[in-house]
Parts: sequence; structure tokens; C-alpha cells
Amino acid sequence: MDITQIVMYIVLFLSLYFEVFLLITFFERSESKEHNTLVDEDSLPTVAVIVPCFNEETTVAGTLRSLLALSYPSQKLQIIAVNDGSTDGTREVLEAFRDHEQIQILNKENGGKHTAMNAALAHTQADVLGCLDADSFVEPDALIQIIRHFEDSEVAAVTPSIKVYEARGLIQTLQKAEYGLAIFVRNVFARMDSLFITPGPFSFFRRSVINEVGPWQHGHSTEDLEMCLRLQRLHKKVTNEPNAIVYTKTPKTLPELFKQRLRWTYGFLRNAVDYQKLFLNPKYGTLGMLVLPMSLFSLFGAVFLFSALIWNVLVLFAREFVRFQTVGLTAPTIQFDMFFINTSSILTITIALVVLTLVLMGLGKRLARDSYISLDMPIYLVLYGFITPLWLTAALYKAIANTGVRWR
Amino acid sequence: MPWTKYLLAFLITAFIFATAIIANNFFNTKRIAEIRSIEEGISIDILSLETQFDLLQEQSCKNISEDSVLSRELDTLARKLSFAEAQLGADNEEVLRLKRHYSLLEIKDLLLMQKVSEKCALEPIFLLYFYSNEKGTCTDCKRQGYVLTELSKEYPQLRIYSFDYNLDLSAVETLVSLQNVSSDLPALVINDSLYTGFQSVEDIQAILPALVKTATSTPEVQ
Repeated sequence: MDITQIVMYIVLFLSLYFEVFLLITFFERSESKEHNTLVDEDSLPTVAVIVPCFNEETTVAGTLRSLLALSYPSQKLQIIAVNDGSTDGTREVLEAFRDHEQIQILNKENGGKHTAMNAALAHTQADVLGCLDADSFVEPDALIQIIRHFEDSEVAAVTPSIKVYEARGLIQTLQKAEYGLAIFVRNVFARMDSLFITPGPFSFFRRSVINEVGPWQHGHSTEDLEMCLRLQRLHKKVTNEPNAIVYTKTPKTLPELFKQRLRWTYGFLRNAVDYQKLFLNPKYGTLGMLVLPMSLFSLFGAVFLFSALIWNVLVLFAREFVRFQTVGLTAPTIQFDMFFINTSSILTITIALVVLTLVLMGLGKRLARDSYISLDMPIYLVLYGFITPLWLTAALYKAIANTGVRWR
Repeated sequence: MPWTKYLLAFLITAFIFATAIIANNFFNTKRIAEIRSIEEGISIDILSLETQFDLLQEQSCKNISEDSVLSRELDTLARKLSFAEAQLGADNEEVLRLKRHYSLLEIKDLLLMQKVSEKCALEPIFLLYFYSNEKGTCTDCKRQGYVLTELSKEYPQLRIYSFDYNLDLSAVETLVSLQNVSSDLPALVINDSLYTGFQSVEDIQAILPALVKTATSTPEVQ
């Protein structure tokens, strides 16, 4: 067995172990608490939803309208749209909402999302604060689903289920499947008290906790990751509500997707350095001992697995090209013989890993009220491996070189 | 810390791993057994044909054609052996043993067919192919293999025997020295003439004009 094979077995073992662990956790506590959404309006906390906007003229109106349609007592819901120095028509679009009593509009110089969040923070006394990116839209019951978690005084933050808004084209279809998997993973992480991201679209925080841990920070362009890691460092409880559905616009093209993922991965790596004390620290339970180390390992593992996949495909193509060059186009000899079925253990384990990933993805889709199976899942499995190494390797390089990344 | 869960996940993962490895070993053992059984079958067939030929001499010619069942079986065996080699590795002792046996069967078949064609006035074309799988020793062997596979599909009367130049088998070593094959590979021996280096389909067709003629004059070989 050569070194590549040994590394392959290690990567496959750890990846499979992690997925099995997630699945056990999911079925261990699969009883979903059926909450009564007919809650007493008087007992509901006051909520402020902050909408940071930077050049969002095409989407922000829809975002605000979806917030206004939330089934939550209007006197208890404040919407703060922060124009973070947009250079397009965002300001004019926002002005059209100025007369709405629930909506407050702030204009400031561009300083990044965390500065927009903090600017809004100074303008509200709401019990619960949330964020909705200006390219996202919410289901009417999303807020009430989230707010009921704050009945538990231990809960510091709640995250939603995020779906791709109107997935069109190959790149968005891929992300649709990926977001399905993320819904599952986020939910299971929450069951293990191991969430380490409070995503920009519709995560909510208890105001008193924000006062305690401090405002949003730049966090290497991933303030949602930094905030959650900060909460976890202080042993604050972060949970997930899979029934709170948020739709977000996702990159349409490969370069756009590359840019976004580069930022996410770079942010994770840099924050991992900043919060290294959480890693392999038993004080942080499953988060410290398994989830964070595995999330970090999976970046390297994914680069290795996907590189191996690409290498094998290239070798195959090269071989067929040489054959074509040598003897031209030839008809393949088709004959079925069980003897020639590849039974190599690496292939079998890879298939087991793929099947398990499909199961997790299906469970994620079900959690967010979709059907178990959809066409985007096989497309994801076939193509995702070929594009992921692009940003993973770029982010690894940038994180090591500490070059920083741009939002746009 | 939920240690029970950590352990359970480990056991399940280890079980999946063990199942995959055991299953692979099981199927590889079955493959080896199948190859061994084919080799035994061919061995008996060669012996039987040899005996039959010795007993009946020329009278047995009517039962023998250029495209005998033996060569087809040898071809199947070659493909299965090469797959097993890829699965188990070229250094696998069992694979090497089967490969040595296969090479011996090829030589036996070659000798028998030479004898048969001489006595029965058949005109098969014998092509001996010497290759090497060792890294860096034969850069053109893959391409030469493609050419020969293609030729064998087109011209069934061509009897191709391939030998691993580095196989530790005295019979192959004798054949190598008899045919004056050097370590400059690939090497082809076509009807007793040695050709060194890569030979394309066209090169071989030029060496064997009879081959092309036979193929074009026999549009549909059953």
C-alpha cells in the first residue's frame, strides 16, 4: 500500500466517521418538538430585524416586503434598514419605505456589514435582534418559529433553515443541494450544542447576550462566524429552528461562487486561528473535540479527495486520448461479466460515503419541508467535486499568506 | 462528552470499512479461483488436442481450424488476468504465479498450433509480443497493446501471444533468447521476423499484406 492509499483510507475513515456520528445524533433525538405557534402576543419579546444593504437596489425592496409580511405583532417588530454607503440606487429604494411606521432607515458611510449591524444596534432597545441580508426573503411564519426558542432563558441565538431562492442554472442547482445538506448539518450541530456559524440570513440574538459579548466585529469578512465562535467560547447556547425558512439569492456564475466561497473558507481558517483555544478542548464538548477539528480537517480532506478524483478522471481521459491517437475511434466491446466489476475497498467505501451524504441531504430537505429526493442531488454529487478544490486551495493559500479577502 | 456515541460511530465506521475490505478480498479470491480454473481447463484442452493430434495425425485436421477455441479462451484468460493484475497489483505472488502459468499455456498453444498448421496446411499468422510493465522500461507498450487489441478484433486469423519480458520464467527466457529479443521494447516477432519499437496498425498491415487481403476478401467472419 503506497502513501496515497494510506492517506485516502484515513480521509475516508474520518469523513465516514463524522457522517455516521451526525446520523446517530439525528436519530438519537429525532423527536421534533411540535410547538404551538398560537402564542400569547403579550408575552412575545420585541424584535428588531436589521437589514444591512450595500448595493442591493434590485433585491432590498423584496426583502423588506417579506419582513413586513411576517406574522408577528407589528408593534413588537422593528425593521432597521442600514444603507452602508451604497453607490447604486439602494438609497432611493429604501426611501420609498421611509413612511412605513415599522421601518427605520439609516444611511452611513461604507464600512462593512459589521459596522452596519452595530449602527442599527444603537437605534434599538428590542429584546431580540436579528439580521436579514438584503438579498434574502423569509416565510411569514419564520420569525415566530424562531422567537419561541427564546422562551428558554438559556438560548442566546437561533439560526434558521436557508434555502436557495429560485435556483436556475447549473451553479444555483448545485447550491440548492448543498444548502439541503447544510440544513441537516446545522440542525444536528445544534442538537450537539456545536453550531459555530450564525448565518447572515435571519439569525437572531438575545439583546442582553450581545450587550455581554460585545458588538459585531469584522471577523475576517465573516462576522457571522466570528460572532458565533465568540458565543461558543463563552458557553452561550446557540440553537436551530429548521421550520424557520429563509430564501437567499445565491451566486449565479462560477466566478461569483468562487468569490463567495473563498471568503467563507478564508474566514473560517482565519477565525480558526483566532479561536484555536476551542479546538480539541474538552471544555467545549463535541464542538471542541469533533465538530471544529473535523470541519477544519474536511477542508484538507476535501482537497485531497477531490484532487484524487480529478486526477483519476484526467488519467482516464489521457488513456483514452492515447488510444484514440493510436488506433482512432473504436467501437467498445460490450459484454457483461461479473468478473470485471470493480470491488476495490476504496471504491466501496467511497460509494458508502456518497450514499450516506445523499441520506443526510435528503433528511435536510425533509427538515425544511421539501421532498427527500430531487434532481439537484445527483448533479451536486457528480459536479461539486470538480469545483470545490478551486476555492479550497485558493483559501488555504490566502489564509496561510494572510492576504485578506474582499466582500465583492 | 457522549463517549458512547463516539464509540458507536467508530464501531459502525469500522464495520463498514471491514465489510468493504473483506468483500474485496472475497471477490479477489473468487477471481483467482476462476482464473485458475480457466487455466486448468485450457491446460487439459491443450493436452487433449495434443494427444488427439498424436493419435490421429493428419486425420484430425478436419477438426482444427485457424481460429481454434483455445485461442479464444486464452484471450478471455488474458483479459481476466490483466484485470486481476490491476486489482491486486503486479507484484502479487498469486497473480505472478497465474501469469507464469498463462505464459506457459501460450507457449504450449503456439507450439501445438505451429505443429498443426504445418501438418494440416493451415496458414495462421503468429505474432509474438514482448512487453514490460515495469515503470520507464517501455513507454510505448500501452500504445502497442491498443494496436494489437484492435488488430485481433479485425483479424481473427492472427494469433497473438503476449509475454512479459521481465517475467521470471525460464520458458519465456528461452523464447526471448531464441527470438533474439533485446530489452528494447516493445518487440514483435511476426512469422519469425523480429521488429523492435512501436509498430502501428498500418506498419503491421504493411508487414503482413496477406492479412489485409484475407480480411477484405472475407467480409463477414462468423
